[in-house]
Amino acid sequence: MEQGRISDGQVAYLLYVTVIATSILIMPSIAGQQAGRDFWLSAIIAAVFGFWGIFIALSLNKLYPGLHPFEMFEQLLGSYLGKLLGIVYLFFFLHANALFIRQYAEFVITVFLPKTPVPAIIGLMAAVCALAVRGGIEVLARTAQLFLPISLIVWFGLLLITIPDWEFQNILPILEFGALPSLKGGFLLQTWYGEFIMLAFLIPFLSSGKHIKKYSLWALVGVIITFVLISFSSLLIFGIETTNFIYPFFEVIRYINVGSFFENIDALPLAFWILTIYLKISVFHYAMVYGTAHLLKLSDYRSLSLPLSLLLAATGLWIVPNTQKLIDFFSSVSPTYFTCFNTLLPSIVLLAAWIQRKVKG
Amino acid sequence: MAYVDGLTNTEELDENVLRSLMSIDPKEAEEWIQADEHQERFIPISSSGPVNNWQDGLLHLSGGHALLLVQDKGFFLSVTRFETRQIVEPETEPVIRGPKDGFIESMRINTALLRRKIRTPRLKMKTLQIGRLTATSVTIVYIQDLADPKVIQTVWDRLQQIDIDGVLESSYLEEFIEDHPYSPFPQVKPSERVDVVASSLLQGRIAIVTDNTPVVLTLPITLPSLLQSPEDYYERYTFSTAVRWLRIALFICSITLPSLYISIMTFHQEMIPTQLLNSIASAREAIPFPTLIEVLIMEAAFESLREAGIRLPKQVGFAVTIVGALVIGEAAVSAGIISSPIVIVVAFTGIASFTVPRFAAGLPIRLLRFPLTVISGIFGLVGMMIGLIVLCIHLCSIKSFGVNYMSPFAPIRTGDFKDVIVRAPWWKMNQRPSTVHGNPNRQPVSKPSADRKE
Repeated sequence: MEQGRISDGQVAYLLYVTVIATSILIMPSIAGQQAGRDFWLSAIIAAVFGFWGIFIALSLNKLYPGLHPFEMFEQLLGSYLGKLLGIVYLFFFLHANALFIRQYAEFVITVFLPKTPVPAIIGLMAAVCALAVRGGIEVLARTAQLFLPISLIVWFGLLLITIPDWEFQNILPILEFGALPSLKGGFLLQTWYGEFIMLAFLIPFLSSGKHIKKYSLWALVGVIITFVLISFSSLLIFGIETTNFIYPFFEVIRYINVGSFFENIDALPLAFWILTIYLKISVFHYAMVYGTAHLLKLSDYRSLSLPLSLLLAATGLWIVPNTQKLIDFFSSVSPTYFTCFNTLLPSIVLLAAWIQRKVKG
Repeated sequence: MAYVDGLTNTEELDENVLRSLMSIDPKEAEEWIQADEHQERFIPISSSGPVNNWQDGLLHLSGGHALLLVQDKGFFLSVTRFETRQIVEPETEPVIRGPKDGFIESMRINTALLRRKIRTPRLKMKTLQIGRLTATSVTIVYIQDLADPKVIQTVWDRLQQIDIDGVLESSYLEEFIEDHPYSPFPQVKPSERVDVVASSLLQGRIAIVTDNTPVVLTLPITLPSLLQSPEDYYERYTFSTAVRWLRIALFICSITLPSLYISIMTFHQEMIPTQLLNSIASAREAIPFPTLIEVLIMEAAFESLREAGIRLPKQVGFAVTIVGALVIGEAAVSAGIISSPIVIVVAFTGIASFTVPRFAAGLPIRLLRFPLTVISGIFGLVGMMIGLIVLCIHLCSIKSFGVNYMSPFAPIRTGDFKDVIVRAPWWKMNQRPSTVHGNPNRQPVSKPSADRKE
């Protein structure tokens, strides 16, 4: 169904951007609610879940080489149950992606366009993602290679400017209340680290896949470094205050002031954030569109892209009433919810697949 | 004997054909006519041959050949001479340092110019006729073992499929052979410079030389290669690299600057330093229009001036440009129709778009600036970013004869960066662009002055 093939390196780009796009803004404040000033430790601890996600995806691929997860489900559970699990995942993609697109819209309204109605913002993004997915996985991967370096250069260039304001005392005391709070914070963060399971949905489109292990681990390392840097920049500037902000990274950039002419430039780096969130929504949208076409046994998935993006936009409008509810969802419901689909279910599938192999010999 | 006056070299006809025909003695002539083959050997003309029917004969006549009819037999004699233009430096692509020869309207001379630069016998040329009425000769030129045979075959097939009345310029062919005919971006590179085409051939690309036009097409191309100027390779590499960066920056400016100005002025005034904001605000105080309308007016005025400047005769054109730029601009500002910052922004954008070395690459940018401006006026920076994403999706999805248009940036090919992000010195360029498939990747280079003491 998909003619395009992507390289191992391109998968690393897609994975990295999928994980950081939504998390980079709110990561310190979410983890900070539990971990206090040790949220940067949580960012490192939670990487275990990222590693686990990669492990599951690669092991499943070893058991069923080159198969799409939906095909694995059917081989493992039989036609009906397998399809049912596939449908469950489709709804998960739709719901999760609706959350992301809503998060994007809420953020845009806060920062850029306070008076613009939400449907316009969501509709525009959904249309763009529909266009990208229509282009196929290759186009998606290429835009990732084009956009990610630009965004990273802009962000880290700006973080460099804040270095003179870093107060290293803010880190101390480390582990004030023992290790438990950082572990709890880490559990909240695995919402995003768990998204490394998307690797399983990208592996079928690899051209060679020889170095996929290496590259996906590089993506994980990249995510850890990014999280730690983001955590440090806000922690070293604001200290424990960080946990009170909704968007700490945004506050850090707002803090920049060079010679009283290079100031209030917060909108510019956040405009570059749109490039990454577009990639994340497109990756999930692609997974949903491809999965739907697969379940319906269509010969081509491209024609589904636009109609399903309408569904995505509608779900995005309906899903939460306001930003506060969205943040509530991310800090209370989403850890268990995302764990269920990103880590728990794939683990069970892997286990079942192993047992089936053992029994069958 | 028949020939078309003006297409035929009559001197040569007198000298070589008539003289030998007159000096022939009747006995030999009889023998000559009776002979079955090689009759043309009696006439000292390098290219001649038999003609079997009127259809052929007429084609030869209109191609500038002379027809010699003896009893029931016919021969064509190639004594063509077209009046051609001098080989001069192409006005559209001037350089300061570098060869000054450009292509002219005759295909034969153009291919000869290429052959003079690249003497290897591996330089191959294949010719075909396109156009029902014009029967224009078209030659594809490539270096064997460097150019991808698949691309050569594709181009050849697509050229053969063309069915059209006439081909007056190579752009006719361009539109027929592109991969994405609806894209605003050019997928082949037109050039009038011999050295540009020769260097493309050396990289393993293919050239299409069309008769009656000085514009030669090369393919496949990438967007970054359109930002390269021949002079980059003739000046010192440090300077060329810096100029290349400047050009990339200006290229991005030429797309985004007006939209950036609109979004910041409309939605993010806080980003502008206070004093500057004050002066801009006071300049804008008397203007009744929103920024978007102002920019659109100014852009439209700028494009009209540019168009007028190109179409009019040179002397008048200068006058229009001066009147337009100075008088109208100044008057519009003082009349309170547009504000002076807009003039600066639009003028700078215009200058930036002139720095794109390939005229054809500048055109889609000029065009796409308008939708981007409008969406920025509505959605601010978000709109601008969305517009750019759409543009990039398009750029990432098109290919020029199997080569990704945004290569080496997407997909990333770090090996090719040395001729895109920087212009590496010649002794470092030991690889041909990997994007042009099918060629042996190594290009032998020696070390710089191997005998020098470190």
